[in-house]
Amino acid sequence: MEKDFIKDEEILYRAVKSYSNWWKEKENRPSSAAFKDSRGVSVDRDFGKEESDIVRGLKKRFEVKAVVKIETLFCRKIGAKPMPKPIPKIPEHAEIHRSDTIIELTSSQARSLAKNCKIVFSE
Amino acid sequence: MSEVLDSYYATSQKTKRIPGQNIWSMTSLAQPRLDSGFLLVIHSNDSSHVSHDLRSNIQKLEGFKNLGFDWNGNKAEPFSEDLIEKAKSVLFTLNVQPEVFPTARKSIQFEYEKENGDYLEFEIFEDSAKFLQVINEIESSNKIDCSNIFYKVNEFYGEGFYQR
Repeated sequence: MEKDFIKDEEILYRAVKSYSNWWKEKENRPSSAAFKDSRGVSVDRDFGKEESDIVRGLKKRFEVKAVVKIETLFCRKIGAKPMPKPIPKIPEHAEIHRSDTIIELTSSQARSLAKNCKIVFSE
Repeated sequence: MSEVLDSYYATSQKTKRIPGQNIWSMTSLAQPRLDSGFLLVIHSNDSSHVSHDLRSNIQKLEGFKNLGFDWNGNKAEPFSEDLIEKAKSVLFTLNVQPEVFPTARKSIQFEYEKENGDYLEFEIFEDSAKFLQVINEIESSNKIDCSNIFYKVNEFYGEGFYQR
């Protein structure tokens, strides 16, 4: 697994927190608001781990309503930039940015991620 | 009649309030005229006049006041009172209530989505607002004045849709 580059085929996992009401019950998916963060959209790379282990790890770190996944290639197709951002004890941590120089996603990118992510766990 | 009207307020887009008696004097004109930039909101302090959806959205916005620093686990900042009040004043103008969400970039998002996939979103910041619209899979986005959100929503749902 390359630490400094995220390959197209890598899967990115995002914890959708329960206390911020980001879930659209009728559509059963997150709002695009869940992908609007001035510090970058925080995700975990799969890093070759089993999906169940990734979900377990995210549930341990956050109070989650759901865990969703998105393909790196899809992020790139909509012009977004997944970037490795390892943090202490979490080398698989990454962020999705609008571009190489701008952190916040456009409204359109955020909506695309919300519509195309797949649910791997939900309460 | 005046007792009822006293409990009503007009709210400008800057959330200024004018007592109901002044509204009474304005609306008693045969054809009341307001400045074009003036966003007129008439609502009652009596919650029985407020729809369930609106009440629920107001409660949700009030709840955003409890989102302190790091509410998203990624160092998001709390919401300012001004932003929450601004979002609230827009909600009072709307014939159809949106789904309301906080974002971690100091904005509050209103969303409308139809079963056919048509979509309308407003992101309200303290000093601006913008919209994203997807109709028949054609996307458009731009800045919008909060006083025009009402019109955009009515346009999205079509003429004649005025049931709150």
